[in-house]
Amino acid sequence: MSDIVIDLHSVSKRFILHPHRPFLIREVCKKIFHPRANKEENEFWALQDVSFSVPKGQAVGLVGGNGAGKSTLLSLIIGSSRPTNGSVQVQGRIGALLELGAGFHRDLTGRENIILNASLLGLSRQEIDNKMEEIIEFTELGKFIDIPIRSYSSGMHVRLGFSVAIHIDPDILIVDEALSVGDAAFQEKCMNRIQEIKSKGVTFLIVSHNIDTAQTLCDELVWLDRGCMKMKGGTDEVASAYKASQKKQ
Amino acid sequence: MSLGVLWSVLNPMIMLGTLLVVFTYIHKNTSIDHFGVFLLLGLIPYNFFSLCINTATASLVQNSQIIKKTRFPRIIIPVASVLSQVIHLGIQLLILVVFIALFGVSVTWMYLWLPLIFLLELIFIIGLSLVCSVLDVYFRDTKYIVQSSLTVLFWFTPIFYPTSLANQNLPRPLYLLFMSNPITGCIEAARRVVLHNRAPEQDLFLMAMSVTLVTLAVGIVLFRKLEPNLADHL
Repeated sequence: MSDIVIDLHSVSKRFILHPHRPFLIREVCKKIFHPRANKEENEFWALQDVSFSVPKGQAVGLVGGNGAGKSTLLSLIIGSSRPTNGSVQVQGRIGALLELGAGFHRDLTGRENIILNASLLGLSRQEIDNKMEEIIEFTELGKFIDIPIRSYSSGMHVRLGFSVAIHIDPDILIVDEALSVGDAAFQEKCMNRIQEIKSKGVTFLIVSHNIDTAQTLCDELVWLDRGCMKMKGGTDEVASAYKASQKKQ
Repeated sequence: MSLGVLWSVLNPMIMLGTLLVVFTYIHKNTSIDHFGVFLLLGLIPYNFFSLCINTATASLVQNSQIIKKTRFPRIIIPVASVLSQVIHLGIQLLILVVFIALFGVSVTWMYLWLPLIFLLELIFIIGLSLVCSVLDVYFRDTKYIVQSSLTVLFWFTPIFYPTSLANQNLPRPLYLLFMSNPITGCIEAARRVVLHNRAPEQDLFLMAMSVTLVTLAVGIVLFRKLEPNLADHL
């Protein structure tokens, strides 16, 4: 049981802040006329020296305020972005439910987006076709499944995203805050599904501002604060420390 | 930019009609036989090139949502955006077939060169698309540079004049630069095949092939280098 599926080793991520995308012409002129001008770079470390590992089947919650680096950390784990320093190792297929509309194309219908999204996650066309009906049924979108998703409400986006994420047989399931957009009935349906999937040995990574949700769903919590890992440990321990610090502010 | 089938036919026809009127009435062109076919053989490769490069340049930025949130080889996006335009090339080639029949141009085995010529063009376009799409992520004026370059190339590609005219009148270094454009190479080769029933000129075809391969290599290297950080810049 102690196979490590997510392993982060002193991970740091730096962003260079540009007010705008630069002009190529201006950059070329600068190079020609001021070859020695040193670059003014406004850098920002979104993550600094974060290390932790998640064994198979465990549910880990990421907590922390806005700008703590939670989303950056997720993008590194998903692999859409790479760390500046350190290493990220992930074993298995990741199903991710990130912010609204993530990984979807606005102009495609719900059905087409299911195919697109599942293909990007590595499923064959055959597998997708087999699961299509089940995925659509879970979304409860009815006839809207054949309408471009740019006309979807936020709730409909979440239903589609969550349904794809859980039906692709992920080894790791990442759930971001987005779930809170669904209505109570759908949230409950999702929570039940999460418990069910959890019992099958799927590893979970859950991001939440709501410490109570995190406490009930997770085995362990990681507390991020301004890019640094402040605390990692059992849910009760971290949750009470986190709550205490919230009160102080 | 996605053109429907109707516009895929109308667009080159309008362009062709305009150029035909200009060069048969206003600026009379008497020296070229089958001028309609001659024009189409210039217009079709150029139109395909311009359509592909325009679409591909914006492709990564347009799909930023998918790039930011999922992991997959990014190279799929610009390549797919080019390949999806091949259908328009096919439709325009059908117009060419009609014109060849109308003008009574003789059809020979030499036509078997045509698939190879268009394949060469496609590879060149893919190579250039990799460069343009990735630059568009980093620099916001890429789109304008591409558009201006396409306008320049419209005039410096032998669409409505033969390369022999450029050979007579352009200064030597400029002429070599002009001929090193693989689109020019493709147009010239296609015209020899269709209008003169002769195989493409060897030197010119080899030149087009070398430039194409270099472009593709530069595209792949540049794309590979910038690919890991694409999501951070979108």
